[in-house]
Amino acid sequence: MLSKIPIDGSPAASGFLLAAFDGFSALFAQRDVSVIEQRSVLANPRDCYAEYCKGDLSVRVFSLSKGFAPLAPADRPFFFVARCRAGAFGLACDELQVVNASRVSIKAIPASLKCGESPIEGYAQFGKRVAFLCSLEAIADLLPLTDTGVVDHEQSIAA
Amino acid sequence: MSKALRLDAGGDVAAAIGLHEIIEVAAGGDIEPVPLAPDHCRELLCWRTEWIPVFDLAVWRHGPAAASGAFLAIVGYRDRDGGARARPACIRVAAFPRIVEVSDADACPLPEGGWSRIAKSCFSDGGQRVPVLSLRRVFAMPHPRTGDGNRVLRQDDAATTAGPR
Repeated sequence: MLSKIPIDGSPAASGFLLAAFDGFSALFAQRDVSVIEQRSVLANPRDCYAEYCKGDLSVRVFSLSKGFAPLAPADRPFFFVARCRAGAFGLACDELQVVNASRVSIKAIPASLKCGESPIEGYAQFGKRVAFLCSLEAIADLLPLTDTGVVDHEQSIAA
Repeated sequence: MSKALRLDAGGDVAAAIGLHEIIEVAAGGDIEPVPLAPDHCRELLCWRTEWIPVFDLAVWRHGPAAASGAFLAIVGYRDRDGGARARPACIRVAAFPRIVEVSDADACPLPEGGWSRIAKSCFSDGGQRVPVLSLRRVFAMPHPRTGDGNRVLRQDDAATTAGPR
């Protein structure tokens, strides 16, 4: 159920993006996602990211380890571009699907499982599978979006 | 005399809960690891139709190298505001929980090692100090994430007051 969202604007989506990474699944708010593409369009592979360039958009695309550490996209077939206050970046994953909000029941992570640095805000059940609702802002804090750490404000959402 | 349910997590680690707090004991189930969660509480267990947190008492006490118990004690706890329904949660134990009889004369101070963060009292059973867990403190409050199970907690020991209620 892969859905491609054009860059040049569509009505803001109200669902979620369900993405499978290395050993876990994550949910992201669809409204924060602007592009979904296949890995073949990535260029300039580096240690922990590759680059996606289209028109005026130029972002780093990462994959995530189980501890949310940045990994090179490697052979992951899909990626999406997310925009947040910290900047725009891409996440590459093994599986990607758009999920209607009516199909998702988000539950809060129990306090005993919470850790200050974790981007996980909740979880939802999909059959026998658990997906963790993640904050893109918190994930952006864990990624090297630029070499200098300076945010490219032209690619970030205005506050 | 009153009765409590003793939970043995392996080695020198034991704790107790009230009989009314136990729901059932399972020998296994579907487990989902939670990324970046604390070492001693980093799993969700699929129980009936819910995913519930799993607290590993042995890892909490001795760090991630401690052997985790094979039994899963499903318990119910209430949040601070009470709530109409007890929330289910799980504690890993190494042996099937057993009922013990406790009298006021068995009361003793909590052992060192940060137990005051998750226990409300303590009694002596067979020469061993057995903290009585506050399940609300165990599950409804965040715990510091440590690489060495109790390092952060030990720094707080001097500031805590241990003792029987």
